[in-house]
Amino acid sequence: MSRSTWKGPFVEKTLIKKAEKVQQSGKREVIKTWSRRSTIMPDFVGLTFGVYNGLKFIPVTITENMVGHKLGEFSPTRTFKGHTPADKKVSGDSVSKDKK
Amino acid sequence: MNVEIGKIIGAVGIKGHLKMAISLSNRQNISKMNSVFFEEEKNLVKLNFIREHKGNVIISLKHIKSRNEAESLIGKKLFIKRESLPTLKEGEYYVSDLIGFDVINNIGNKIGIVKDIKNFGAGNLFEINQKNNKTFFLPFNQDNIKKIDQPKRKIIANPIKGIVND
Repeated sequence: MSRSTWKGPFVEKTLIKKAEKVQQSGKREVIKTWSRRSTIMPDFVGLTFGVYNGLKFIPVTITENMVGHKLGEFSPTRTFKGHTPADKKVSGDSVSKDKK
Repeated sequence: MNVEIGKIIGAVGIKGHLKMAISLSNRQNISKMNSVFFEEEKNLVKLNFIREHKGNVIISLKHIKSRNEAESLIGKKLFIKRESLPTLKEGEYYVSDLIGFDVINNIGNKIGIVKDIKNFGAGNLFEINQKNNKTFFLPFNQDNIKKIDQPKRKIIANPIKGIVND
């Protein structure tokens, strides 16, 4: 059963406070959190959270299309054992472009 | 530089066909790779793509004509020359190229070595191996990565506060 809409999305209060503090200070800083269950709010766009996966904090830079998801979705708790394809490509622009 | 494209895992039929576990993002790309070589041998071998089979591919090599010859190759890895991969657009990199690069901060101190590049759904992350064998993730974006110097095999990074010490 899904969450009742009258309650609104769940976000840990302490996380909102931390996010507000970083936004006001304007510092480039990772916001460490253990609250994997918190929903990503539109105010978080552009911030970087360190989401704990039980072992370490995985940096998650919030973009617009992540809004509504939970922070834990971007910090897997299990190790993927597989081979990286030889011709796998990466580019660093994807995250930065979304933020503009 | 050589790039591993797969491993021979079995023989198929009596004509020397081989089953290969492939490590390419698209299995069909093997058909574009005509010349391959084994790890210990430097001679290029002509490869023919025959068909896909349950997540693997069936190939034939020009000099392999019998099942016995094919069985002797089981467990061997196939490579291609790095130059035979397609050229990428500006700002795009092959993961295999970036692994092993030194990561240096603004001051010039070495932070670590690139171990792998992961993507958990929130953009690409460099997995950096530090001197103490601990790893941390560095987002691959303009906020954190200033420059990638491929000829010198180094990445100049300006990690945001709280990333490196984890």
